[in-house]
Amino acid sequence: MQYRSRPLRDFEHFSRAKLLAWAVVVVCFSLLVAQLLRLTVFQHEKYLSQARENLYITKRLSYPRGNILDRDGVVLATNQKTYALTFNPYGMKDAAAREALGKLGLDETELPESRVDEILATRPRWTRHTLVSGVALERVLPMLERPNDFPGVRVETGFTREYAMPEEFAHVIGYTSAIQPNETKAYPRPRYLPDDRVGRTGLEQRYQDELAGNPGRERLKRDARGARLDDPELLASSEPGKNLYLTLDSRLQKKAMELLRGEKGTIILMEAQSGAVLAMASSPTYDPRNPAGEQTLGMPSGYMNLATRGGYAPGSTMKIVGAATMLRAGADPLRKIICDGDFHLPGWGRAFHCAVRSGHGSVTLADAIKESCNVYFYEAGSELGAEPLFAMAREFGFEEKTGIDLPGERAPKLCAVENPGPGETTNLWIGQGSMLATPIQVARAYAGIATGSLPTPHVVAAIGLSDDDRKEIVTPHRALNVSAVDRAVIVDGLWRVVNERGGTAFKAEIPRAWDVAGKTGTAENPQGSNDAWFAGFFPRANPTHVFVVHIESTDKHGGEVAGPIAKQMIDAFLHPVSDAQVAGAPMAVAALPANP
Amino acid sequence: MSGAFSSVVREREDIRVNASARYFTLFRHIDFTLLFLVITLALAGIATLKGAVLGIAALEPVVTKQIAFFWIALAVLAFTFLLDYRWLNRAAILVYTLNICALIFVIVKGSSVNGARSWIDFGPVNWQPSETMKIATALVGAQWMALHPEGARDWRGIIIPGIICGVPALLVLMQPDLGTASLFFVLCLAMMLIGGVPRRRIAIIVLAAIMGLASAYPFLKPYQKNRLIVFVNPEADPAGAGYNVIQSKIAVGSGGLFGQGWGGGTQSTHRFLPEHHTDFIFASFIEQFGFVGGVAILAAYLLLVWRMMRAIETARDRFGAIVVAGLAAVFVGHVVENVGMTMGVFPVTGIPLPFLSYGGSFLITTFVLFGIVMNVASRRYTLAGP
Repeated sequence: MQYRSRPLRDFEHFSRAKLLAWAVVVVCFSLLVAQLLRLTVFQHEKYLSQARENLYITKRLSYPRGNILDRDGVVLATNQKTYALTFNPYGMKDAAAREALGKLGLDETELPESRVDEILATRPRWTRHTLVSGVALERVLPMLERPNDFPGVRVETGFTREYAMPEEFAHVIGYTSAIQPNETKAYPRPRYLPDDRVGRTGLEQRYQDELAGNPGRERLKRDARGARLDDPELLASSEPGKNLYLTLDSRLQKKAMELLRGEKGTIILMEAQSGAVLAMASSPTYDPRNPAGEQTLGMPSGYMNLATRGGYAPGSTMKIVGAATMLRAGADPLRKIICDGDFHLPGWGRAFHCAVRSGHGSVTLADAIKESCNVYFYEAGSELGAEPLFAMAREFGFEEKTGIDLPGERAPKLCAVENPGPGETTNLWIGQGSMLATPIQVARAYAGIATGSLPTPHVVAAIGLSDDDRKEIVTPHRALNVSAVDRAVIVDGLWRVVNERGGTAFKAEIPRAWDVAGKTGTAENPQGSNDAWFAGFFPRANPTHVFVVHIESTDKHGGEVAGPIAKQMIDAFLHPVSDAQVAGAPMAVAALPANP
Repeated sequence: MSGAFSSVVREREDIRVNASARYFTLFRHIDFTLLFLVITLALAGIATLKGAVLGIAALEPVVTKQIAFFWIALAVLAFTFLLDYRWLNRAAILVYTLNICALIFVIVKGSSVNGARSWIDFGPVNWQPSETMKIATALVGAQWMALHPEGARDWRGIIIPGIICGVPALLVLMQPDLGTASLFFVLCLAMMLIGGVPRRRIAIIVLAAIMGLASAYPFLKPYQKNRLIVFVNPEADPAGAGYNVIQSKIAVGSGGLFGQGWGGGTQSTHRFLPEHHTDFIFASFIEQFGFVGGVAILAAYLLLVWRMMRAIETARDRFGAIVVAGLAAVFVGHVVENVGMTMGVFPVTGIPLPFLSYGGSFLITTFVLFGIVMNVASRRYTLAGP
């Protein structure tokens, strides 16, 4: 084969072709140099910081949530260290990854085959798949001791919440649960991570910030395979969660819950001067360790703290407000009214009944309180109307939140209708009609009548990192604008309710030595049955404590149901049984170690 | 311009030498600039490779291997250079046919790397037939165009090179390897351009190819579509297909003006940059040596192009000129596509960078390519044939 030598025509053609070829080459290379200049010079800072982001991973430090202790230092809520297994199959072949997973000894429910497929299908470079969490140390010991036998697997530590008396304190303390995907704005990084547990109700929610503390962060140098290269560098050390020191007494709380067993209702025992709550029981309750199993006592709405969120007709407990209204309007407390069992409102067809159908006969204001005579208050209501009653009720703290340090408190309206008519007004004067109040509002009002000052109910006494670091919480008071004389008249009536024959609570046989004053209430509820109330304070001479008992849906009178319960509650307070005699609770409490 | 050419032509006709002086003359006419550039770039490549894998125990053996391959490649270059290229064209058809058979073989039962079946596994040595195919195609294409100078003017000038380049391109496309297939297209265009096919027709072919490619989009493999989508917007899949480009741009950008020094650069040493010793070596190079280093290496590539242009210009016959043109196109295609890919200018295709990317068969092929270029360049004078 012989080639002809190149004809001259070829070179002439080439000179033009060469220009085109050079043009293409130069354009391409210029493009490359321009892009190179852009990346290396103009965007250098941006890419350099991205390279550093690649290189370092900041890790949040794990640390426990604050404890919750009762007034005697009994630990009610603390943390248990638990372990989780995470897995990253990055850089592993499918078979090797399956083998590694198989070695962990997880059963089909913990790690179903579908989950394995899912893990192998999505292989994140840096984020790890959580296989199991909340397991005890025994389960992860082999992985901790021989990590090289378990490629891709890492043992992570965490904390779960432990409650000493879970059901007794569920409504006050609440519970924690994991942050949901739609809550990442409310619980932002880096303080919170997606799997963190946060308080959902009660104190766990109200004091989330204090209990959770502020997590520290450390920085790790790593490579693309996830290998850690250096010792971690501490960026910020953890501020541990603070402890909550409660005003609650676990013994009394337990007693109150026992008294409510099988009932739907509330017991509150509170210091009259300070507003410090000793017991706040709400039944039914739930298990905060497993809040999904809400209906532990077979009743619905076990989640609701009835003491702060239950709106009920206050019934005759409201008579202290009615009495104060009358006295302020200038009524003579000794004026007698003849009660024949019925009250006829002018122009109103139907009669309003008294609690005793046969009537109370001739009654003074104190008698009317003692015997819960409705007619006395009907008469006053028809004279004074609704407005002065509302004004006085607001003075006693109704229709406003008490300010208790628990989330979700309700402050129901005194009256559902604007400008109530005469019939409605008459009912409102005995705490019926559309009038609603919460048990904690009633407790605060009785503290007011007892001391002349409205305290702010509270369950947290102090917050601090340790017993030495306690910072006491000071809560405000509001003076009750009711004269001492007027209060004395009402308190006299309240004392006679309990201690004089014929008083509505006399049958509860509360020892006279306890010097208890109170008021029963039997409120008709929308279900057609009665709600039983008993609210009061003791000792009358120098009131120190307020109590409220409220039982929903009973067919008996307030004094018959709530009276004995209140008696046992006060008894428990006045006569503490030694620890040895209270089986169960203190032992369980002692078994629960506090956080270091 | 024409003055320079006529002097070359005159020289050719004037020189008469005897056989004993032949090799002496040959060595005297070696393109030392080219040889110097080739060897320097290969050594720079080894140094870059060493810096890129520094501290990564699993990858350190590649440096030793690459050095061994360098010596083999140098021997192959010498062999390719000494053999008169007019002998090469006799072997070309055979090599071309063998390669076609090998390409069919890999599609049927080759070893798969990153989703493409392109390797023949010989135990310790792997052979990627598409690499040698490029050179064989250039030789066969140039042979036809050299024998039919008048053919360039009519339809055969498009059809015949089209078939010669199209058959391997299609086979490579079936592996599937879009990047290498497009190199055959560039190779074909360059041969047509130098071979005398009117530029207007070449422009029409380029336009038609672009339109054809656009209409072929629905028939692409899912991973190829994905690459194109990710090419337009790497953030669409930052942990998957877009990962390579994102990490590569980070590596390039963090290099800055002067780089982080030899063996520096966390993107490479901490392995965030994938394939940082093969396909993405340029990113690792820039991370180490920065903009200045990048411009230097691109300038070196451009000098090689200049030497190849010169070889085309002074080639003794059409065959030599067209072969070098085709090989130059393959070389430029490799450089532009690879460097562009690492900086996000072109889609990721898996085409290695000459001299820098680790890989024995690719280094040897590159040396064969430049062996042929030197062969043509050194035999620019009329010599009594061997």
